[in-house]
Amino acid sequence: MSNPIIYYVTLLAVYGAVYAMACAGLSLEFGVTGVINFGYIIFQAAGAYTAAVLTLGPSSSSDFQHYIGGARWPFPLPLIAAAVVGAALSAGVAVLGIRRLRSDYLAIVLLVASLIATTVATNATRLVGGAAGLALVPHPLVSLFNNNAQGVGYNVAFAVGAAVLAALCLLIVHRITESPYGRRLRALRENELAAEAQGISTFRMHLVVVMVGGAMAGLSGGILVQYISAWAPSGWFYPETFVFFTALIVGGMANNWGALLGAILVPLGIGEGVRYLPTIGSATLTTALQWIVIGLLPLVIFWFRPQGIIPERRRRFAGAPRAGTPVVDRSLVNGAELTASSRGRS
Amino acid sequence: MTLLECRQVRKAYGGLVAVDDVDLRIRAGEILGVLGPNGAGKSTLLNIVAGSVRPTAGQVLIDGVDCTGLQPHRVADRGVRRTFQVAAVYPRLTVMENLLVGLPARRGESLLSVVGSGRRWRSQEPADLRNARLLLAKFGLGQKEDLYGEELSGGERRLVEIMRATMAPLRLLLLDEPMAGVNPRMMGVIEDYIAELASRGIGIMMIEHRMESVDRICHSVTVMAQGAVIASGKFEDVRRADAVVGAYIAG
Repeated sequence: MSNPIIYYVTLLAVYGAVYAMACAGLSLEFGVTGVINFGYIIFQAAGAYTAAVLTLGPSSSSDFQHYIGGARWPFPLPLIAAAVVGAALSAGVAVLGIRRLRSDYLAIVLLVASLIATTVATNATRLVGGAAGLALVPHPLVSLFNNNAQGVGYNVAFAVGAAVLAALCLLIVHRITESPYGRRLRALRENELAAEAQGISTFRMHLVVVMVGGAMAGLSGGILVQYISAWAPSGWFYPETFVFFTALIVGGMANNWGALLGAILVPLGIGEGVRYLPTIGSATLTTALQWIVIGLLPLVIFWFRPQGIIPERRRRFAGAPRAGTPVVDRSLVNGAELTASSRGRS
Repeated sequence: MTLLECRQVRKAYGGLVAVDDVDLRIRAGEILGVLGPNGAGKSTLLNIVAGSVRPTAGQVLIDGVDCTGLQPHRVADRGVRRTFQVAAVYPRLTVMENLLVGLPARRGESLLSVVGSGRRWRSQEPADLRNARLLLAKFGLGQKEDLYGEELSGGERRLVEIMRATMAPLRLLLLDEPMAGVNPRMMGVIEDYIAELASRGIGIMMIEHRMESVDRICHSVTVMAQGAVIASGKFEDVRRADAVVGAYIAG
């Protein structure tokens, strides 16, 4: 393979991994638990700024860009910090919003918060670089590759690392979803009142879930900014959240394979696909088309395949009685047997 | 032993008094029928006990502990389970999953342990499945464990809701019209099951309009009208009381 093709493939792999990570977190929040987080992109952005600021080093007055809290932390600390900030910010939103608001109102509040966040980041020029954002963010571990961030070796290594982290996020979401914990989350999604009557705390579960989702969003932002070296408010304007929602709706909700497929088809597929369209009319037409397609896609999916391309799996348990199996003698059902397994609650 | 005690429980929505200084007691093993015309405040009273409605005044004691105004999941943690007037099964969870959600969270089911290793909860699951299947077989739903809640009939949803409530270690069961929408043959099964639960020492509060069921299994009844208790005692005595007859006719 020639170098340009390798670069392009690794670029696609990094973007795909970043989107997959973000979609995994949102799938847990929205697909599994039913939290409508219309401000999801904030947490990715927070992770990106965190990782950027913690690798750029202290900001000095003579610099072309200004930001607060600059430091030069070694890898992988900036990425861990990105995840922590994503989780912490989500927790803050949850404490302020989830306790008081019904989920549809929370969605509106988060959408507005997303608008406010970009406005603040754009206009507070000394916070995170203003409208120009932050640039020249150092690449992690590039010294191991002769400081050549443009080399094939470094790009391949970066793509592999990002893919491993994306796989890890998907694995975590998978383990949660398939466990009794995930069953309670799905119960909450289906009927909060009934779930609370079974001893499930809506607030506590939602708090934990948005923190896990926020950590994944933050991590994805951290990885992206360390790859592309720059981050600005124009890259995380509120509609970006709906790209992830569209990805889940298209791929399939509450389903890891659906999240992965959606991440590949929508942000990556559509985002890259429009580059290959011939220029028709004005030069900005294809970019505008991209948003029209992303806007129409959920509509088409809801109309023709509301469960998404890979629907949520019906969970069957081993050893289910089949037709013709004799019915168990009722005398076998006694109090001791019914309650014995329910003891030892944590 | 008194399991549930309501002391002068009151709920007012502005000028409308939905529950008017109600006193009520349920002992362990007792089935209390709560009767009354529509709008009498029965469901509001049940919601107050379950924690989903905060009373304006009065106290709710469960096992002698003041639980007034506790959140629903906290009340549930004390071994209280309820059913809803419109059966609240989880539509996109299978029948088996609906039942398993009824179990309280145990060790090995916290976020960290399910992410770290599924070994612990996986080792607990076979016993849970066995218990749930015994219950399903008892109610003739043995073949339906893989169906989604939304794929069940109204009566089957009612049964699943009652079964789900009894998966947990139970002290007090609050039933909001358990017989509504259930076929007559299954009513007998539900009645027997409620009686069996009571014989294990579980206290049961049952809002019900079907007098045959109340007559058959309730140890005592409380009749409400316009938020207040107008009669209580044994069903055969209460049904003849003038106030009760009047309340039902006047609606």
